[in-house]
Amino acid sequence: MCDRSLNTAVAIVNGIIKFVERCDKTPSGSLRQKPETTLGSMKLLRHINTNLALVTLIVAIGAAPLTSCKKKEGCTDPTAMNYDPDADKDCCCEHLTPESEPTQTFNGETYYVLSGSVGSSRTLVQSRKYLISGGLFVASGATLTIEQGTRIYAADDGTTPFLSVQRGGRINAVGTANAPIVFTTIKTVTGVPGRGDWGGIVINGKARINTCPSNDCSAEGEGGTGTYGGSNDYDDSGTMKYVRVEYAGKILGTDNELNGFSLNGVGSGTVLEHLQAYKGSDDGFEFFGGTVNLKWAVSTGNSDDSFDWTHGWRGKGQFWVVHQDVATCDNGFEGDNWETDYNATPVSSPMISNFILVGADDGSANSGARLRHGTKGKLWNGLVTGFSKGIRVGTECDAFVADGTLFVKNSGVFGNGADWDNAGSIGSDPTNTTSGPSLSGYLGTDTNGAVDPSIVDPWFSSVNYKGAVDPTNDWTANWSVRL
Amino acid sequence: MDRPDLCNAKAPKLSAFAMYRTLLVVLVCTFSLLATAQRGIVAGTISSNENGKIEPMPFVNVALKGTNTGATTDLDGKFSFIADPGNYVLLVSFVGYEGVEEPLTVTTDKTTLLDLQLKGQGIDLGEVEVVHTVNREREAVLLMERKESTDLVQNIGAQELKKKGANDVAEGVQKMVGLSTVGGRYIVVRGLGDRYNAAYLNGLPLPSPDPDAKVAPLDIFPTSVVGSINVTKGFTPEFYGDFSGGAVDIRTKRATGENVLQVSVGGGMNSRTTFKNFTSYNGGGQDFWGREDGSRAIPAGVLGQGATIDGERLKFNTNFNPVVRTASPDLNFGLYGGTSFTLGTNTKLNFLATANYRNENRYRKGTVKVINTENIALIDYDQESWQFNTQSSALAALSLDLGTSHTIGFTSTWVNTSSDEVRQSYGEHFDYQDDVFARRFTFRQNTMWINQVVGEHRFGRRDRLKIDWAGSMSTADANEPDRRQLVYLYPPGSANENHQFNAIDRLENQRWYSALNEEETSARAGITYRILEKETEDGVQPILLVRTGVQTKRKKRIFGYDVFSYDLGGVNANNPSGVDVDRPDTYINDNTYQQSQFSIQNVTGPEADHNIKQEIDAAYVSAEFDVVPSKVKLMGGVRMEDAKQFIVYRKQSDSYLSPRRVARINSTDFLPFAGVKMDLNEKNVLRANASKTISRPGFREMAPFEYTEYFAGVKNVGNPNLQNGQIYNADLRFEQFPNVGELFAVGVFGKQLIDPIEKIALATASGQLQSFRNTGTAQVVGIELELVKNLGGLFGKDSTVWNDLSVGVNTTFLHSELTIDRPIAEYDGPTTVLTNATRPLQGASPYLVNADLSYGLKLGDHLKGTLTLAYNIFGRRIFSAGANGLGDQYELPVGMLNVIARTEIGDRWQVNLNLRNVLDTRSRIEQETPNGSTLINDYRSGTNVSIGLTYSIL
Repeated sequence: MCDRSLNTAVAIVNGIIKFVERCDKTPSGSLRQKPETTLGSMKLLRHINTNLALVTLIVAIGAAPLTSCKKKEGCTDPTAMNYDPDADKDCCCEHLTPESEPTQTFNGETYYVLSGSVGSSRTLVQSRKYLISGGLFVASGATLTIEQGTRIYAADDGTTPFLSVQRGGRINAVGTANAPIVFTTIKTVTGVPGRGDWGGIVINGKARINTCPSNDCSAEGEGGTGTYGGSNDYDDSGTMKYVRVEYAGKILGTDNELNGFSLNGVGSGTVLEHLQAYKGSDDGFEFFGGTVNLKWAVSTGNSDDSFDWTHGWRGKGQFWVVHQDVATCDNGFEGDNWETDYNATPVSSPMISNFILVGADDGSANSGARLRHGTKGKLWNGLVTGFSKGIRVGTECDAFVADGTLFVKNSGVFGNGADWDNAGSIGSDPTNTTSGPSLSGYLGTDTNGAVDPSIVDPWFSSVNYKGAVDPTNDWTANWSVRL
Repeated sequence: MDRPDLCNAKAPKLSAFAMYRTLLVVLVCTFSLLATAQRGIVAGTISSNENGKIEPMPFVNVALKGTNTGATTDLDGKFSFIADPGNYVLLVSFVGYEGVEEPLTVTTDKTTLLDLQLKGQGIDLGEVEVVHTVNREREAVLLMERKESTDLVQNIGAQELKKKGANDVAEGVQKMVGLSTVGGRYIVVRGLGDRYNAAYLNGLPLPSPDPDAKVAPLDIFPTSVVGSINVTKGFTPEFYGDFSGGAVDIRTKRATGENVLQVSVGGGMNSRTTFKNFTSYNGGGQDFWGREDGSRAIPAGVLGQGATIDGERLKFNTNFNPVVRTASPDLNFGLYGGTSFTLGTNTKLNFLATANYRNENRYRKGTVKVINTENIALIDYDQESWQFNTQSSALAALSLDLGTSHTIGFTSTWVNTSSDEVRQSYGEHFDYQDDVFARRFTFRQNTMWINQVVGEHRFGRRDRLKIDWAGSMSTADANEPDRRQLVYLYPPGSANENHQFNAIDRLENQRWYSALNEEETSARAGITYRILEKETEDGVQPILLVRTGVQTKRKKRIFGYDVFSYDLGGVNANNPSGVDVDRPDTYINDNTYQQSQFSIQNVTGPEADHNIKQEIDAAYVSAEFDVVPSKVKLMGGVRMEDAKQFIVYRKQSDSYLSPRRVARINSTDFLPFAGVKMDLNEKNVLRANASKTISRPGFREMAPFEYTEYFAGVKNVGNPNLQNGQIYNADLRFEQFPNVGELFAVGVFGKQLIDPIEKIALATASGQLQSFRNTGTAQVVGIELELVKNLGGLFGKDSTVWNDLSVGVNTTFLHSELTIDRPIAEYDGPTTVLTNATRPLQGASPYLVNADLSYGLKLGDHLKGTLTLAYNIFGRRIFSAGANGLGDQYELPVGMLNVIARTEIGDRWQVNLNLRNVLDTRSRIEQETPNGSTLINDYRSGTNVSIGLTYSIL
């Protein structure tokens, strides 16, 4: 098998990531081939030796334990970089000399490597480029500050790079429309980037979630990104503004994948504005419980759901853009309470105004908004088009539709295979229309039948249109990228 | 031999035998043509005559002087063997008796009968180690051994295993009281699962090729290499301390010096499989032999972690197309031989070897569901599987007798099992708007090779001091090369059209390669010494016996896997009207690869490899003291065990730039034991036994990295805070040995588990996550009943028709209760979400019943038949603990009825006819919810019919 660590150690000394190439000489699969191809001859020989050794033992054994047999030399210290699990006799261990700031070089440029845990406060500066290898955790009590315009790359080294803010840790990443903070894959520099190249951004908060029998619930995040959830709905994990995440959403296993932004039990003290998830392999934004609000968000070309909420999310959202491109894209919104227990509390019940869901209109079996598994929710001022089904409601949510705790109002649902699916009174709500404005991508609004959401809650900006982006005032310009 | 008579024989009046007998006659007439030279038979009975008291003598050696021909008498003192015609002298010898030499003449096709009596020489027999030379494969002998034992031992011999139709050790152990298996592989002893049991081979620890099982899956050991299986349920200091359910010791066939050479061949059918359509694929060239020939290996040039497979050509050579053929009948054959060489006046070398092969085709259809608290299925699949299984084994045993005081034995045991499976699942999955069709090819190969050397030396007057020692080196490999899976989505209800590859979760389309290699070295040395003894007329009576010794075990395991995922979105785009699920190679091939319709990526992560080491050193001392000579014996002792185990791993979120992580547990334990054995009289024995033992965390259980036991299985994450659990055991048992081969036993037992290591469920973002905690306490109490009774007496003493009718029943009633503390905030981790805080132990059935009825009949001198009906059933038991408001999953009772007919024709032919799983009972797992219960798993395996022939050349 390819000893990745040994190769990695060499690579650090040279300042270049080369593990993949090095592994090529002895593919990692060699272990998987070895036992059978060599069992016949090698092991037979070894066992003949073994048996001779045992016969020799007959003479020597007395009452002493078996200690004498031929030992293989190699490093037996598991923390050494050249650890050899097969070795019995210790020799020649090589330990990594800790560099204060390890770097790697691509195309002549220096990248500062980020890995492991940020234990105290740290600032990433615009003048440097950064490379994340494996998980980068912001520990409880620490703050990670990122200057505007900073670019952070995910390594292409067989690890799952991601940034995870732990409960009690804070992120302070504030970009501007002209100098956004960008998280992307190093393959944008070294090769061809693809969906799922890395993990994305994970924020773990202490707000309530609903997947436990007890009220104070902590859950394990996807992909070993940390524990989230608690009892403080006002929890503050920091601020993110003008942040773009590209090519994230790495799939780690069945039902185990990271998202562009994984917002896990994040509390309402956290500020999230002007965020984009671009071409991820899983969901663009996923809310696992919590109460965090999100204003001005763009989910572009993400191949699972563009926005996904579950496990009791109770936040607010305004100006949300879904723009899908290919057949692999799933739902625009996928809203759940919890598939395992529809009645789990707190119940998912977001309020979202001014959203535009643009499907690829390619016949894939997807929905603009799929509302199911016990979710409640109040949605206004939406435009939904280009999906197999526009608004699809699970029968298990019928009661919430009936009692008015789940609705879509003042929205235009048009140009879908079927605009309404089991939507009941939602579809027949007089404020909804099955026509909409002509759109340019996701640009376009419609004042016909719109409502001012700030009347319901002052958090919402006061507008009088359906849709998310007014072409005359394109808030997605400059900092976000389009299909 | 009376072959002509036999061929013309009328079927006996016993109607149950009629068909069977007809079949036999046909077979015998066919095969008798193959029989070798015309020979004769020598038969008779050997009895002892002690002051006029005449009793049959078992285990007496009889042989024709100057030849290798001879036999050993059975428990009734009877013997018989075949010899070439001529004049001979029969030598009869037994330790402590005067030898007899009797002239006789052997005539072609005739039986020469001889009944002889031996006179005692008046020397002691108390210390004659009869067990040393006897054939442990016989039930009656094992019962004698059990009676004499100071341990709480139970055993099952090769003879009984055959009689009850057990093909492998797992099937064998579930015939024993208090034992059952889960999935036909993993043993549960007295309601305690894998963690609480141990496996040995000839008294030396057995490695496991399963990364999640401490005890090797016992179905990999065919009974063809087994002499007997002993299960000890009470700890004594000679055992490694990490068991409290049972220690299963598989004793391989021993070289006894018998001259034997047998060939066997057999075939079988499964009612749901044979001659029906069987889905398979083009595998490797040596799949028939259960051996991967390298064709499934990762091809050269396939890149390492994270890399996309690029280049002009598709590197993988194996394909995804299923192939439908007709299922052939099951097949098995084997060879068994032994002999001995006299190397000097007192030196004898005994040799035994056996090699066996067996295969089977099996089809299974059932349902698999995942439900929620509303009792609505989130996942609802129909599942079909086609399996081709093989089992090969070879055993070579050599023993060197240096006089009567020294023996050195060497045993090499090799077993190889393979399972080649195509599995199809189709139905609804809540995460997809479409329905799902998934097909997977899985080839698994497990190989174990165990080499052992064992020595025993006796010194001093009447062998006052015994030294025994042993060493073992073994390897276990488990490989799963090139597991292939493709998942398709199709519009609900239109199972035959519009399939598209699942491009949403592209990891579902994958190839997987995994390998595990384990090496284990172990050794022991011990002495047994009679400190105080008393000379009696019968010989030496030990008053105070001490045993002491040291043991050591070193285990090393390396495990790793690679996964490659296929992104097939482009194939879908090129085939808008759908793809043919039975011909995926039409879309996944070199051409479409060059057209960039799909890509392959190595998605193996840092968590894919781990390795472990375990080192255990132990010393023990124990003593047996005859408080009342021959009546009451007190036993006591203590074991000191010093253990170090560690696992080296990386988490999924780790970088290769940082060193590996290590989780360790070091512990030193003192494990006491005390017992008493009371021989109430010659037939009744009362035993009591108390001990403390431990349970150790499994290797992966103590490392906080996430892994799944199998693809798409439940996620597990270890817990670095685990410690050994402590178990207090107590046993009381009464045993009656009424007549030779009969037994009545009743026992009660109790166990208190302190800080048991239990699997728990944790709250998680998606799917299910399990971990392990030392949590709460658990109790097990139970009653075990055993009865082996010959019913011949019921039909009058002289009934020759019914004198070999016997019944065996064993039953366990058990109550177990586990209390889980929750939630525990012992570290900053996720919340425990188990539904029930109090429940029975996983795998513990409230009752287990094994029953068999066996009837033997001798027709004339040359035809002997046995018919056995064996039935077993386990009570409703927990398959998996429920979480998140869902109830526990219960496996419902499955009753298994087997009918086994065995016939010996003359001295050379043996015919077996087996009917297995006659009732074809449904296997079901049920789960309760607040809104009713549902069968979440459900299938039938079919009835098997098999026939086997054995021919003894020598």
